[in-house]
Amino acid sequence: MAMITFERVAKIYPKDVVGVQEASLKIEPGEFVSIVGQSGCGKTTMAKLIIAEERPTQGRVIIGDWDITDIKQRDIPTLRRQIGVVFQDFKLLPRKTVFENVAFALEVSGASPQQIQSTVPQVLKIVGLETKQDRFPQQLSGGEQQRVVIARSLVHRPKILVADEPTGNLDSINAQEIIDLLKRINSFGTTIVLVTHNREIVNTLRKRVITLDHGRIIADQKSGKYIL
Amino acid sequence: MLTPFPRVARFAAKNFWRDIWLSSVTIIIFVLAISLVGVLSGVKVITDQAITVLRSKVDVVVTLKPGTTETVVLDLKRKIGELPETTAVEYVTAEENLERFKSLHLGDETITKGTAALETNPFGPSLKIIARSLDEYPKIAKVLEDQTFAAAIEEGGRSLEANQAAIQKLSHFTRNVNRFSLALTLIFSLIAVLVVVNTMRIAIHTHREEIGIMKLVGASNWFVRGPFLIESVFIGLLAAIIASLLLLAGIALLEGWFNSLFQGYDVNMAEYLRTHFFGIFWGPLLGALLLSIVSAAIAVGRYLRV
Repeated sequence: MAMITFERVAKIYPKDVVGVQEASLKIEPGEFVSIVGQSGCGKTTMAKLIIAEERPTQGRVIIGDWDITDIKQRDIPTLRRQIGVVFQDFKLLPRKTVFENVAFALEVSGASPQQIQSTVPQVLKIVGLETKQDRFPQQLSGGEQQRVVIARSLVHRPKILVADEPTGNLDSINAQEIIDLLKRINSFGTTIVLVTHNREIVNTLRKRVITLDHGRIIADQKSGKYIL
Repeated sequence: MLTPFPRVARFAAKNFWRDIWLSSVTIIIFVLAISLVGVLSGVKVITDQAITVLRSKVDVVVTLKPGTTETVVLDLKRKIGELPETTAVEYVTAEENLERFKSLHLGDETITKGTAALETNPFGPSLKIIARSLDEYPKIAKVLEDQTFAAAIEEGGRSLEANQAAIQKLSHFTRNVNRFSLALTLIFSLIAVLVVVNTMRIAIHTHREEIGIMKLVGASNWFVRGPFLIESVFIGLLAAIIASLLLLAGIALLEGWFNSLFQGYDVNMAEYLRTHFFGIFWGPLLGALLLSIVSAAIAVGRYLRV
């Protein structure tokens, strides 16, 4: 069973602005997939459809065996705990420490204090920030901040990690470190969906590449390159 | 996984504290609204109490012509006493009336001398009638208009009309106070709702980043909405407590005035207001709490998409 399935999905915004159209694809468990294309081609729309931040206008979106096309509002939190999300703009709480930012994801979903105390150090170790857990976001570099976000997205042990331009605000060294971290997480069995327009990263990854143009999938290569 | 209530409450307390100025303004508006409605409730109680006291003091004295036979008087007393509207009828003889008159004017030499010189008793007997309510007097008056008794009653020997006019004036004033109170209560309730809705709207806007992250990491809808609703409970409760203290202080301050207002009557208004505090003021206090929660629910439903 595929981990993510898009069946002839279209997302049309008001005033007939096309987000995605006629998009069909299957992403298998444990795959590392890059979705590439120029700005406005529909990459982020695809990421938003996966986390149910957007609903498709047509077609079906299925996560595992769960058809989330018409997902109810009350079921969205359950879905979001199965999908980790990383954005370009970090989305960290500035008045909370690294530990508290990561713990926040567990707190709001009702985890016990014991669970929080045991899980947070584990994920901070995975991202290599175990020694910086008492620092505040502004005391960290961009790469480190993104690693905190990745740690936060891992606390629910998600089956899927959607990273939307995670290296957009980083220099090439920090960007490569984040990609290496994503590869490492992928090696544990987590399906990674990387949305990016960074040609260099896509070309060095040598993983599956789905290319979008004007909302349509124009290429889907098993071990592809940035073709635009 | 259910989010434990204490954790949601802790988030609500944090939000409340972080937005303390905003919360304070909302509480002040609420305190003003509750206090005003409370004062109006108090005024209603005081006027109601005054009317009750007056009504219980009002009786009708029917003065009969001198020489009216006891048979007629007792017959009239029986007829009036049989009416369901009557609470009590007291028969005062002509002699007792004369004695009362004398004792009333004991210090007046002219009257004392005059009454001593009287050969016959100029007073007739009288009946003191107390009805269940003031509105029942017209029914009693019908018996008095009966031809059998009308001839025995002195011209102008009924004290009903003057009392009734005074009480009607007071009742009319109370009704107007009640109407005015209702209108003001509605206006202030509306203002309070608008203030809380706006406060919550600002709070939601202030916390939008945190709310966005909560949603992103899978916070339950209750966890996102709960803190705002609980914060509204804090606001309502605090406002109710502060307003209660202000009202109690007001009662203490006005104790002297209440005593002078009800001087001569067996009423301790300040004590009455204190002992019946929650019975009298539960409306505005509970109303504040409910309005605060309802307003927050409106704001959360309208401005917080989860």
